[in-house]
Amino acid sequence: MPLAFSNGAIIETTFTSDGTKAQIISQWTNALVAAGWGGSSGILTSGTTPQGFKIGMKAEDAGATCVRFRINGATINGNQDFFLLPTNGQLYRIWANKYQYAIFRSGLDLTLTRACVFGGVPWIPDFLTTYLNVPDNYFGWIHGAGSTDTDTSRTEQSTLRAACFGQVVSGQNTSGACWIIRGTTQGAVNFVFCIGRFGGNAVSGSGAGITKWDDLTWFLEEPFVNYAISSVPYPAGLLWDACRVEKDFDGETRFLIGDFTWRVITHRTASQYGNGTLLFLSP
Amino acid sequence: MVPFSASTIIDRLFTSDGTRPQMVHQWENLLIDAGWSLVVGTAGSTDITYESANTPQNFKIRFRCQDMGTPGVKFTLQSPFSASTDTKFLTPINATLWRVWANKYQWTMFKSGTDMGTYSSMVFGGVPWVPDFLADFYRADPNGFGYLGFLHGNDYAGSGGPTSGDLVNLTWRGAASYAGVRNFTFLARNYTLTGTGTTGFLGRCSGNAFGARGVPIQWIDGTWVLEEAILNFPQGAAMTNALASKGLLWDAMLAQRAFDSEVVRMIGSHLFRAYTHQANTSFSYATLMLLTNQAV
Repeated sequence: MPLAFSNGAIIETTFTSDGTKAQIISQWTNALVAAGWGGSSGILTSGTTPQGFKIGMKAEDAGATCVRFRINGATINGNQDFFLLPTNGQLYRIWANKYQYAIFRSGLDLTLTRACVFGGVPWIPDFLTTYLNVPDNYFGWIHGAGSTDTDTSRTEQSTLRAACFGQVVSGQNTSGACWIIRGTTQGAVNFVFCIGRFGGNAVSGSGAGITKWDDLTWFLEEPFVNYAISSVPYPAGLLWDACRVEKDFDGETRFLIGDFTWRVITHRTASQYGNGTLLFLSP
Repeated sequence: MVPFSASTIIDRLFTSDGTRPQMVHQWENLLIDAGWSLVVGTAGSTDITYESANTPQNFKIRFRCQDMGTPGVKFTLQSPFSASTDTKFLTPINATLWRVWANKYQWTMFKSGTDMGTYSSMVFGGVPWVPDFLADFYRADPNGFGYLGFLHGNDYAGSGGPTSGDLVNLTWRGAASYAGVRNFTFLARNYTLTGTGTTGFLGRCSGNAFGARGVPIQWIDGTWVLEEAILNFPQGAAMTNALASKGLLWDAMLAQRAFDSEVVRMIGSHLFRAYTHQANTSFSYATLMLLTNQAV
């Protein structure tokens, strides 16, 4: 299965927070619109994928300290929101294409709370189209750490900022997600959300997973985006303009793979290679 | 990605008459029909060495097949420059059905059916597809001479009598992606990686990995995941190294579900025959599927 390229604009930008929610919302909106999202009433709608799907997202000032991010279907809203805290003087990074986005506080500190949100509509293989196009063509996900405006219980270690498939510290699945899928919303702060097909605990002992070729070249893998049923991950498509590599990299570094430049989204420090590093295409 | 050999696929059965010469001749006919070439020995004799076609990456491999007068027919992985000391044996059993399968790069011969407890009943060998960067790596050593291959079976002694480590359920016939699969030889560069207890499996993760952070085996709609048949052995030439991937099988894939041995399924526009008999319903151990031109 190949990587899925959006063939659209990729927006990468950083900004220094002035500590206001309005700035976060403005920066996020501008980036997504520049990447090809549109919409009204404060809800931005992704481009329609070649498979015919799209998703809505909303960032709003809900009144307290954080910006609230919500996933929206045609007629329903997500049942789990995610929150991003503006911190004055700190650098934030936004990445977006016409189908997906990431916004997070830049840097290598994974102990931050309410510091990242990801979302989008996946690429899907053709055989999933009929199954997912019920009752409409809204299908997507949102992922983050902070589940409330004041949530300090969860850090970026539980998110894609730390690993594709498993927390660095606790040994559990990467989690915190909400989906719009087949006319329903399924989400929770501990909803399993992981990228790829191989978990880190598969890399040792009798459950060994393979991370290298014979010449010690690291494996690249398709970024399967997994939907959890009873905490068991099931591939529901692929991230766009992304890949997974079985090697540790510092967060936000850039390098060439093949003819493309990639930005490291995860900050992998624990040498649990099997948990994978997530890379986004970088302009 | 599945590398297709774009060659003739031979997939057929024969009934053993209980003799070793018959088995040697069946093997020889199989390889001739699939496009292999005799390089040592006399056609029709019981000590013959055949060489595969050259892959697009410019690798090939040789196998020697001998009737040594022991209970089994002996197979050895070879290049013109080195011969593995590791061998695999097949023991003919009168009136039993055997299946042979080959393309121009790889072959297998095994006792047909769903019996996963018969020793000396399967051998699988060939030259793998390798990605370009790995081809450069294997060719970088001048002692490599363009020969690259593997041999897998469930009898390395030919002495008769089962040993638990050699039974079919510890081969690709029993579980293609199970970490307990063993008994491989791999030849590359200037070494042969050989061990009777060598662990190696197909795919990117063994079935034991399934669990809390395991490996998804189905798409969200219940469709079973298909996977590349990646060939894994200890990295480099040291048996103590962690496993690494050394290429892919040709005309093959893994299906993350259980099938009975030798059933044929249409996947995409191709027919595939289940090589693995996945009787234990641990789907994560995966079924090896080989391209076939036979409808049943």
